[in-house]
Amino acid sequence: MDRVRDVIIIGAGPAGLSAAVTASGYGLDVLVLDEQPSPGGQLYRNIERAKEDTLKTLGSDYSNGLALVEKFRKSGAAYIGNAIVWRIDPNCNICFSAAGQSAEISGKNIIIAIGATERPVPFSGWTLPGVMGAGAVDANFKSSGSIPDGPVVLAGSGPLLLSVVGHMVSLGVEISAVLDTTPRGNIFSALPLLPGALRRTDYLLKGVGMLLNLKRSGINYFKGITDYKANGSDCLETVTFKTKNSSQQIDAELLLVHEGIIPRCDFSQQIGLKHLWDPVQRYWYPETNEFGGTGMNGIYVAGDGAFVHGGIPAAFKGSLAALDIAGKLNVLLPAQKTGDVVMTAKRLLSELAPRPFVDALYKPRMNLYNINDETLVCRCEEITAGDIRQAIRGGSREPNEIKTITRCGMGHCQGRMCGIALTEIIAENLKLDPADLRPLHIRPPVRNISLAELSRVALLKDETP
Amino acid sequence: MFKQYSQQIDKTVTIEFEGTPLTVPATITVAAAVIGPAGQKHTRLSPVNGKKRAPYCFMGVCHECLMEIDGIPDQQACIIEVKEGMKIRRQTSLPGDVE
Repeated sequence: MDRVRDVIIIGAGPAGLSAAVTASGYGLDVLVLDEQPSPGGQLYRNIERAKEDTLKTLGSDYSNGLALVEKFRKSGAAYIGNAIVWRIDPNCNICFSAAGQSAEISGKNIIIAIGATERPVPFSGWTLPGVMGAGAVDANFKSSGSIPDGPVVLAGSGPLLLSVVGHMVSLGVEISAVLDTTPRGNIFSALPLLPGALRRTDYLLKGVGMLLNLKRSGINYFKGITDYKANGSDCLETVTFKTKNSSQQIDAELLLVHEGIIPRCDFSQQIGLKHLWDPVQRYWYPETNEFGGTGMNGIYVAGDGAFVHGGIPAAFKGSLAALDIAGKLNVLLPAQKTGDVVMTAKRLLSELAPRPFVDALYKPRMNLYNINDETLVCRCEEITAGDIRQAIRGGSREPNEIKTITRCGMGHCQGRMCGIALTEIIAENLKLDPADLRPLHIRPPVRNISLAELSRVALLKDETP
Repeated sequence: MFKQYSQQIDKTVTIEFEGTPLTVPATITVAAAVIGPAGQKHTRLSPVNGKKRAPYCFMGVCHECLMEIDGIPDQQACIIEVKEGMKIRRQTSLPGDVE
């Protein structure tokens, strides 16, 4: 464990696995740390143990992961599963916990490949048991073979929502309604971007296919929904929503919400990389170059954690980071590096062709964060939108200041669930551009580690005077 | 809230939920066992006001699934798999509670 690896990769999803395969292929000494029990990330979660019926239900988007995981297993890269990384340093040291013990290790390079997550959007009733992410239900199916038991309402916008609806239909889950919040006007701003997307008609046809299947399935499908809420005393009982002309209420066991996907910035923020705001999809992402390199020497961010492009692009982004590292460590001849980089970059570019169109088509609705004062924004510390607005009225205008005053973002999840909402509420109230605000600080340990474990960390020798 | 989909027979393990033995598929997560075979709707109480909470993201982000597993509190039940003999408890402490 003491030796300094050429590269330590955090995350065993498409980007991390692909980076590991590429780097090992050039003879680099690679270690992959991942929090799950087996490699695959969220997209290919639990793929090595997937049953026939799971593979069949989820189709090639999932089963494609088998080949990648197999290549990774044969690559010679070292792998530790159930490993919780809780700190990274600009000098490429990493602290992680496995089997109840923490250790510090050192690499020449780090690739942060921790992927993306569903955008958390506070709304009335979202803390009730029975309300969860739509992607969360896919994740639970992949890892545990569990499916919803009882009538389900799906709400939100984006390709993943349609994909989850398709999965629920094939699994025989009872669907009471699908509430699509995609603004009707999006198609007009997306149309000019269509020619670029036509270079990958396969992707477009897949999307059209999902919509057609939804319409054919005979499910209650409501478009242009502007608002929905969850009701219940101890757990979800009903969902209310507004259509253009009326308000409706339906019974549901589960409300599955999806309002798009955002990068997980846990480590890019903890280490202090510069983050930029994407005005179309409205999220923070770390500033990287074409290889995933950052302002910090040896620190790379690859995959959806750098910008949400999806699983296949993530794998190419992982390879590019590994190629850049191989070049810097002089295991590649310059000509060889150029050739491999050009080829990978070309394939990545082809995969990205439909993205601007899809991102514009599923641009989040304007009223996404019109949260009423009583609604909890910070689930951990139970801070409402009203608490935040009161702090703003008191003169605060910076997310980290409001965190200190209200405790919003100070709980177990460290602002992962409320950080963006906090940014949007401040921007809305003060008529600011979110790009001019700073994301919440996230500090080590970025995951829950007991004080007893912290006190026994096997630290590397301190080199600072 | 959830049930097992596959008809294929899995290997099983026996865990303890709140002191009651429970036989579950061997490869499911702790959170899946609690809101599936254990028949529960919530995994913890909010430590601020005692309201019931359940997993939201199922991928280690939201921290709503924190449970006491084999005596250690604040474990992320959605990414930890069950093991034979594992003891699982809900966290129910509130501000002011003294352990």
